[in-house]
Order: sequence, then structure tokens, then C-alpha cells
Amino acid sequence: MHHRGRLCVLALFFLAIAAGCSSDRNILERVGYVRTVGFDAEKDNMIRVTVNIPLIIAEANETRQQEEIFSKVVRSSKEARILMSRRTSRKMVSGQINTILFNEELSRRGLWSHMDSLLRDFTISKRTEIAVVEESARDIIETHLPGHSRTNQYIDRMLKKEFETQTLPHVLLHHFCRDYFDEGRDPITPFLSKSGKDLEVSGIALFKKDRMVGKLSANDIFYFSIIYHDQDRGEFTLGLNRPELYSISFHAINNTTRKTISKTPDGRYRADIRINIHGGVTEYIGNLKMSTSERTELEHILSRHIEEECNRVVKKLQQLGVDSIGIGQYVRNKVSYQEWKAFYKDNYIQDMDIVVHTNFKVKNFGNFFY
Amino acid sequence: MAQEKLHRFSIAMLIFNTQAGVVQFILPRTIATYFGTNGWIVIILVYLIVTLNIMLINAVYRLGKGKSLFVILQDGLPRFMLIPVYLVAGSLFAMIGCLVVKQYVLIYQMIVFPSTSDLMLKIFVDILVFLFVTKGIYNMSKANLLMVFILLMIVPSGFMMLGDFDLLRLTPYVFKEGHDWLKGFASVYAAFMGYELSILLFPYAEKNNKWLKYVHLGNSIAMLIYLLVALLCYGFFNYHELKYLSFPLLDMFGYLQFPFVERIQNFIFSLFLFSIIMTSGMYFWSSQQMYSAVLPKLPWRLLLFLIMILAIGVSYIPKSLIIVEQWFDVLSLLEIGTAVGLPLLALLAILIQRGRSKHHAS
Repeated sequence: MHHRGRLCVLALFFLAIAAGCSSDRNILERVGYVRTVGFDAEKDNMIRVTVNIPLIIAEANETRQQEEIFSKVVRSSKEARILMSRRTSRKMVSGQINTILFNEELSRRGLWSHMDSLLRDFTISKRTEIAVVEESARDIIETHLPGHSRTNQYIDRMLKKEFETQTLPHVLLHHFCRDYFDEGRDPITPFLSKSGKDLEVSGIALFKKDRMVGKLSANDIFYFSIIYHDQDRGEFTLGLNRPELYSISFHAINNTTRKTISKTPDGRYRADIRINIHGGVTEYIGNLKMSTSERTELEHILSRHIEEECNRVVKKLQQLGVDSIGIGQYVRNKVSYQEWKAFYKDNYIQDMDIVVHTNFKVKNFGNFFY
Repeated sequence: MAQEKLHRFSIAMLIFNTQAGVVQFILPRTIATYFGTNGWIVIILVYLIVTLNIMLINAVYRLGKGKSLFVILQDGLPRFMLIPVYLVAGSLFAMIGCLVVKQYVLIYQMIVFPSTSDLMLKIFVDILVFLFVTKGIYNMSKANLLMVFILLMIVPSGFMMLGDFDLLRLTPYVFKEGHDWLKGFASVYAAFMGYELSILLFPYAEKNNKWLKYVHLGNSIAMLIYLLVALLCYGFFNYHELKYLSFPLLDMFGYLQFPFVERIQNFIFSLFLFSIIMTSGMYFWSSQQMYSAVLPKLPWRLLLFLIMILAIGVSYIPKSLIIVEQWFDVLSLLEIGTAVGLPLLALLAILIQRGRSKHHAS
């Protein structure tokens, strides 16, 4: 027993010493965690990579926050990392990357070659936010916008807030890669642009495979969202030039969307998207009284309007030839394998008839019983 | 002194933990590459064939009336024929026990410690395996119960992934866009390897036939875990993407977000060390049993030590994950052969022995 005990202690001692011999230590103050990465298009297929490394420097009694920002024109992102690490006193690691920004021009060129680096690296999480920016990503990362927190925090928290309140569909790196590989669906990302002294979520970038082909404006995000998925929160406002409905805002939007596929007599596929949506009214400017039966008239007007707008958004998607709402998956679910292979062409969505039907119901109208 | 018997449930958990290994992390990708859409169905098919094999081993127990495998073989067949069989089987088990650890260590090194020497990491794990196996089969099975409990606690986290699971992604097609089904079948069958070691448990189990059902239980739990993992992966990612993900299960765990911690994939992978120690331990124990039948005079702990040293020496040769996986492919085929061959050899010995006793009686 005693002999065995000694052997165990020796083994543990050896293990304890050997554990310190590893060169894979990551001492917190010697490591630079990259938080935001931006990619811009340059000529000759090169890219400009900009990284933002927030630092906390503790010296004597004062601690201050600082950022190291590097930018380089390179062929690939790992080359950028190696070149940039020559300028910093810290070891650059990618484990904490929160946001990846792609410039619009680069997105229109095609993103797949840059995705390779993001996918091969074990340390980059699939929960990273990815967004397309209108102008230069370098500009956005390097400028500290007055009136907001540091830019990398600002972008990260803004996107997280948008996902949480469901004003934007929740798309992360995982969803982008998954939809890129799926034949029946195309990826989307949020679209950011600088407006005045702020950054704004100005729409949704629509991708066909890995190339951006179009964009939906901020006003269309709501209509796209309710077709894309079932929401259970969010807020929205709309206004028409009618006396019954000058302006209305609602919150707590809850919708169920059902997509059914059928075949028309002339062999085309038809998708019927039925949306049942209800929300609580927070503001109303118009001449109808919601507390009476006039509410049904209001609901009718809203239903028709939302239906028109959704149909318009769907036509736009069809024109661009992108299936961002995943209709292809529903078709695939319904037909045999040979039929699916025959149906699946590059722009299959353009050959389909897609019709949206909407039914809007007011859930409640707030504290004012009028 | 009545020798302590292995409890039936412990045997079930022993078999389950020996079968479950690092292959869980790679299996969804293998299935998606070879079988294409809805390939997870093949797990059920392979399970049925493994069940047949286990029934074969059970038949050996029943016909041999509970005697140890070595007693059965020695009663029927001459010793000069058996010695090469023991040596080959023993070496095969030792190599597998060793490569299981090597594969785990190489993946661990790739993910967590890129610049540490894999020999050093492997020696750490091998010391643990040695300390584990020298305790004897009874203590191994008791420790195993705790290990299985900890590992099965990870399973409910699979339900957290249901939010991103979509039946639409599964597609309604079965086995389309795959290729090389035979090779894929062998790979999936290799994932179930571990049940064949139950043939060496005969002298340590109860003296009735009831414990045989529990080997089936262990196999079924392994099948259910593989099925759950594969099904979740198919619905979480689609089958196209699965072909390009090195470790789909790690990616899924990396995506999980708890309120207090996220990206626990490294932690979960470290927990799998329990499974590896058990698998490797059982294979080394089996190898030691085989070699003890050849050299009964040597003390078994010394024999185990020598086997492990030799195996470590050989395992130093493959340096990359790809080569280890190639070696594994070959060794798995040999192991499948052993899983069928050993019971058949035992049945042959029983038949010869019965024929001989009838001859003597007449």
C-alpha cells in the first residue's frame, strides 16, 4: 500500500511539473483578443483587413482602456494576422471575435474564400455576428463615433439588441454557412451603414450562395421578417395617406406563417404563404374607433396593406433570383428526388408563383379605450 | 472464498462505455459523406447486425455452460494452434487500445494545445490507463459506473439544440447522394466495436444466463446515443454542410449558449477522457488476458506494463491524425473479423469436444 502510494505521488508530481512545460500558455495580459474584424475590397482581388483589439492597461494606480487598431492590404486574413502581429507587443488570438464586417463591394465579389479562414479556425465561434457595411469597414472600425460607446462594443451590442427584440432575423455565422450549403435556401445578413454621427441598421443584404446580389431597405425588414420566420416580439410602425389610417404603431407582434406548395395546371409550382399576425396597438392616428366594430375595418385595411407589401417584397426577391425565405426547402419536402433534381436550377424561384395572404388581428389597444 | 461477480448492470455500462469513443465526434460526417441524405438510418441497420453478433457470443456462453473462453478453446483445440490466435488477438487489442488514446490526444492537441508534444499528452493518458487497469476488472467496472453517469449527464443538453433543429433540413429522401456504401458500412460498424470483449467476461459474470441480456442493453444505449447525435446533426446542419465539418458534434456544443457560460466544446471534449480511459483500459485488459493465456507464469501486472510499453513504442510511428485514421480503418476490419472469428472458433472447439466425448462414450 505504502509502495503504491509513493508511486502515485511520484506520478502526480511528474505530471504537475510537466504541465508547466507546455508552450501553449495564454497569459491574459500578454494576449490581444481581437474583437472586431473588417474586410474591405481592394484591387487585384486583394482585401484590406482591419482589426480592433481592445486593451486594458494597468499601470501603477491608473487603469485605462485603449484600442489597438491595425489595417493591412493582403491576400487573406491569416496573412494579415501574421503581418500585424509584427507591430504589437501582444499575441493576437481570434477566440473572442464578436463581429465580422464585410464591405459591400467585397460581398458582391464573393465571400467564400474568406469564409475558409473563419471555418478552419477552431477558436472562432459559430455565434459570431456577421454584417455587410455600405462604405469602408476600416472607416467604421477606426472612427470612434461621438455619443456612443467604443465602436466595437457599439456594433456588437446594437446587433445583439436587434436580434433580441426580433427587429432583425437572427443570423450568425452558423446560419450563413448552413444556408450557403443548403440547396433550398440562400443566406442573408444585416446591412449597416453610417448615417450622420451614428451607425444604422439600414436593411438586409441578400446573398445568392456567397455573392451579395441585392438589399432590402429598412422599411422592408418587417415584411421580410414575418415571411421568414415566426416572430413572438418586435415592434413596427406604418402610415398611409388615408383618413382611417394616418399612422399606427404596434408592439408584441406575434405571427404564424404557413407555406404550402401546390402545382398549377401548367406545371409551375405555386407557393401560398399564409400569415396570421397579431399585435398590440401603441399609437394610432386616424378616424376609426378601435373600441367599436370599426376595429374590424381597421384590421381589414391593415391586412390588405401588409399583404400588398409582402407581395412586393417577394416579387423583389424573385427578380433578384434569390430564395432567402427558403421556399425551395418546402418544394423539396413535397416532390420526389428526380423531380427535385429537375426543378432545381440556378434561379428556380423566378419560375414559381408565390402569393402571400395576410390576416391581421389587433390583440389589444393599450390604456386608452377609444 | 467466493469471488466477487460483476453486476449485470455494470456489465451493460462497461460494454456501452467501451463502444462509445471519439468516433461520436466524427460519425455524422462519415455518414453524410458515404450515405448522403438521412444517412442516420444506417445506424439502426448496423445495430441490428451487431445484435446478431452479440447473440452469437451469447450462444458460446450457453453451449459452453459458462466456462471461460480459454477453457473452452483448450478443451477442444490443440495448444499449438491456439498460441498464434492468442498472440494475434492480444496484439490487435493492444494496438487498438493504444490508437484510441492516440487519436483522442491528437484531436485534443489540435483543438487546445497546438504546440505541445503529442507524445507528452499521450503519456499522461497512458499513465492514467495503466493505473486504471491495474486495479482489476471489478474496480474498473465500479469506476465505470461513475464515468457513465457523468457522460450521460451531457445528453439532456441535446434538447437545448432543438431550437435550431428543423425537420425540413432532413429532406424526405433516403440515402441519396452518397457513394461507397460498403466502405461507409464498415466505418459505421467500426463505431460499434467494443461488444466483442464481452466474450472475455465469462468467468467474471454471474453463473446464470440472465446477464447476457445486459450486453444487449449496453449496445442499445450506445446505438441510441449515436442515433441522437446523428439525427441532431442532420437537422441542425444540413447533410451538405456535414460533409465539410471536421467535428460536427464539437461545432454543435460550441454553438450552445447557457446564461453563465458559452462555447463549452473544449470542456465536453475533455470530459470524454473518461470514455477513452475506459475503452483503452478494456482493450489493454483484454490484451493482457490473451497474453496471460500464452505466458501464465508471468505476474499479470508486469505483463500489462510490458504490453503497454510495446504498444506505446509502436504508436509513436503515426504522427498525424490522417495516418492514425488510416491505421484505424485497417485495424477495425481486423477487429470485426475477430468479433466474428473468436466466437466461431469457440463454437468449433465446443463441437469438437462434444464429438470427442461422444466418441469416448461410445
